[in-house]
Amino acid sequence: MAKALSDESVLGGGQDQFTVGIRHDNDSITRLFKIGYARNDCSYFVFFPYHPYRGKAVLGKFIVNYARRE
Amino acid sequence: MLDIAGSEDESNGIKLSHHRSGFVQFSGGGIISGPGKPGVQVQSWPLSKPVPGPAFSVSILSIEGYSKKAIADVACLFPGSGLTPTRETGVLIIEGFYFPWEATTHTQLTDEGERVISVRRPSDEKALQLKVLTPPATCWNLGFVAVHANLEPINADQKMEGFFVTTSTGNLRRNDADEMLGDSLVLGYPRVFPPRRSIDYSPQNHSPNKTSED
Repeated sequence: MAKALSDESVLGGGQDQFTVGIRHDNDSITRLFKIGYARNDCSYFVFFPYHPYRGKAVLGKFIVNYARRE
Repeated sequence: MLDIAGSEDESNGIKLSHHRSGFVQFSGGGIISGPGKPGVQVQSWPLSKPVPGPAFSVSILSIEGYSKKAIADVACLFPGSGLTPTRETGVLIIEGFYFPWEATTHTQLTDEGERVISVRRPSDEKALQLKVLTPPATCWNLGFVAVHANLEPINADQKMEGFFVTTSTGNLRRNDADEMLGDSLVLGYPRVFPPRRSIDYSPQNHSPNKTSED
């Protein structure tokens, strides 16, 4: 039976925030967004401090039809 | 679309959160949020029982104007040589998957010291190698996020600007044709169509949006 490797010897110390970005050929980095884990309940969150479109958000809810999804 | 809302948030403070209970919402940045509030939210799968497919997807049409300052915290970097979005190369799509903690047995360390996990995406059976975002030790008994990136071609006439984020689905049901339906949330910048309502917190109409689920 496979052992659930949840101890520090396997994963090492984790972090509560990560910056997702891309590294260019000249070693410069573009920061895109961040992913984190909440300290209170370990939920995950994704946030967007780096984009240039301040004040222009649109948020919504839409229906996904799994039968017609490409 | 079931709902289209707009925000004038100038802080870039809006975030997507997927809570332990499965409650998924956008919050922060002065927008209305929290269970039972008229925010943008859906009840999806609990983190203790994740689904095999992507938990969220970020589609970036252009990186023009993004910050190039040094990264202060832990970086999760993809090579720009193959993944910079342009009209010629396509849209950069970064998908996040959520795994139960038992899946740590299937993670591996690369020669570069990155922890990765390989999966087949259920929708198209494509093999993916994802970068594991190892959580703090206090969260090991729940699960972890892993991400991958790829470029998808775009139509030649498609406008290249901004980005949008979609979430895991909730409220699963079947229609009259017995097709499975679900509700997903979206956050996009800049605004490409007019919102039907404002979601910015207004003290005249709503109670403060800070909740235990924020």
